[in-house]
Amino acid sequence: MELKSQLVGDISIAQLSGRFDSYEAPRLTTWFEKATSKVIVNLAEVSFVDSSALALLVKGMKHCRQGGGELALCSLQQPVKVIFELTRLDKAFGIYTTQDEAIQALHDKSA
Amino acid sequence: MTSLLSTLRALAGLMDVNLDLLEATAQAWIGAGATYFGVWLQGEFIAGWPDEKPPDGDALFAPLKLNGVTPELRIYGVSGAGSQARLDADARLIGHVTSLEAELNNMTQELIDSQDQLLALYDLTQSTRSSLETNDVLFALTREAARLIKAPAACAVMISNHPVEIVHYPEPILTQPMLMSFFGELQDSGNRLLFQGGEDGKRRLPDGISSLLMEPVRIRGQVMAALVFLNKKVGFSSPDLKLVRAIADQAAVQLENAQMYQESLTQAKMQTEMELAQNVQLHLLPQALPEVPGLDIFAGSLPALQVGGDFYDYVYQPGEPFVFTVGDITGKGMPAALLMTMARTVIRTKARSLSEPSPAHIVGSSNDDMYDDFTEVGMFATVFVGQYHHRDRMLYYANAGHSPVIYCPLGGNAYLLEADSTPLGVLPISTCENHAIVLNPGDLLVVATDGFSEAQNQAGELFGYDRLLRQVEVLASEAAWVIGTGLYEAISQFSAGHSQDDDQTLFVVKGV
Repeated sequence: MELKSQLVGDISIAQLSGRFDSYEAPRLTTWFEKATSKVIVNLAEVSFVDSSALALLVKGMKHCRQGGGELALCSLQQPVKVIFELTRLDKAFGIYTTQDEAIQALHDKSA
Repeated sequence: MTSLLSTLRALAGLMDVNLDLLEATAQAWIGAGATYFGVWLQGEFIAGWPDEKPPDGDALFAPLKLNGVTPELRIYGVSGAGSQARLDADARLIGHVTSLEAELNNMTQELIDSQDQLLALYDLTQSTRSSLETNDVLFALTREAARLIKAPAACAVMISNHPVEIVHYPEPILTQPMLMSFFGELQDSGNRLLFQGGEDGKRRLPDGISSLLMEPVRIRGQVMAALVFLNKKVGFSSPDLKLVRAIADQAAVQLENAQMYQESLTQAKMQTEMELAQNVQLHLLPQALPEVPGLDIFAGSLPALQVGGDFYDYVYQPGEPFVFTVGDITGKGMPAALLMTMARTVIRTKARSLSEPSPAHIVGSSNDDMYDDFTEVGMFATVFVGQYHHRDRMLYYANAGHSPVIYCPLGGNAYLLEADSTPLGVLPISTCENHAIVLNPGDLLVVATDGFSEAQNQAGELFGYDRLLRQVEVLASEAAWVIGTGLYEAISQFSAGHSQDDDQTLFVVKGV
């Protein structure tokens, strides 16, 4: 898995690629520790997420909300989207089609 | 004569002259007619034959060129160019023989030294190989090395263990903070530290330390330990440094062996504890399945690691509906297993004690209880709870993020019963609702965990939902245990050669 980090205003964006699983999750944990309370995880290049990865995203989401922010996901590939739907985690996260939409949503939230 | 001999011995010692050779030469000259044969150094008489009083009169002279000094041979009672030539030749011969002997002595001494060092290194190996505790090895190395280097004090530090191991021989001279400060410097530079004097350039050594040599010991490429030698009065010589390097290399091998032994001991201990945990966990799963009127039941669980986060359980009290649950805690191994134990207990308690234990109540109330704990450890659990009422053959269920749950009515297609709420521990309030299906004879419900749908083959391909649904349809007419074992078999064949990534748990209920 690759992790590219970006800061747009006060929004921290992580762009991941490859398999996002229990072996790769610790890297994102480290990233979350330095991130702002508004976070977008762009999953455009992610082909698979396992339950450890989902747990980490949930943990990140709770952390952001505690800090008055939010964690949004964007650009999910179909198989990854299915995993969010089957586990109903799509009800817990704001999931957006594009990164721009996610940025807009986080801006609106703070406005 | 005693005084003559002692003088000669002093001279011989001073100049490394072979006394026997000198005396033999003197006797040869006296035999050939000379009256006296003697040695002078810078005009002073040193020694002579046949007695210690040299005569007056004319003599022949020849310089005896030795290393550093040039005494003079004098001979009385003979004359002529032939005798002079012979005396010159004798002087050259004695000089040459002396220098050869000196060279031989040096070589012999070097051989003895290196032999001593080899023996000492061998002793060092012997003295440390019998012990496999890193602290014992470290102490034996320090003690033997200090003796070899002839340093009055030594110590060693090893940082790969916790706490850091430090040994002193014979008594502590450097305090731990001082030692760690030098060690930090050693790690930064990667090269040995050598301070020969009380004041070495800008550096002042701590009180009581007159010289210090700290040699790095690399284990798996990293500076993980160091040998320290202190207060050698004559300073650390070049051969000392070479020897210390050799000892450090030897130490690296010994310490790595000891460390590997320790690691394998720790692993064996952990293995035993894991086996114990696995045993506990296996006993938490129901040991037998109940006879429930109208149902044929199979259940199984195969953890990926020795302990896992999957579980299944049931509560069945006479006259009450049959309640069963299948859950999957995120992650694997010990953390997941610990939370699984908690989740199982909470759900079981709710199933027994809630006044109206409907599945949605059980899930919602369990989420209330466990949300904070799950948040604390950053995990969550997908849970399916089913409740079967035989009087109307209805199965009520609540599904908190769990999949795959497969329903296959008699003669129909298998399809997924999707969850309607997030897993336990994700949101503070559960939105889970009750749903119902009928379980008439031949109708089938398979509740599996994602270890089934996400099983991979060697090409990295997932087993997936479609294959699972088709497999359920193929097996649907069989008894519950045949369906269960058939599904395990299908997964095992599909993922042959690929390790099992996730726990695989299965609960099969079929209407009969």
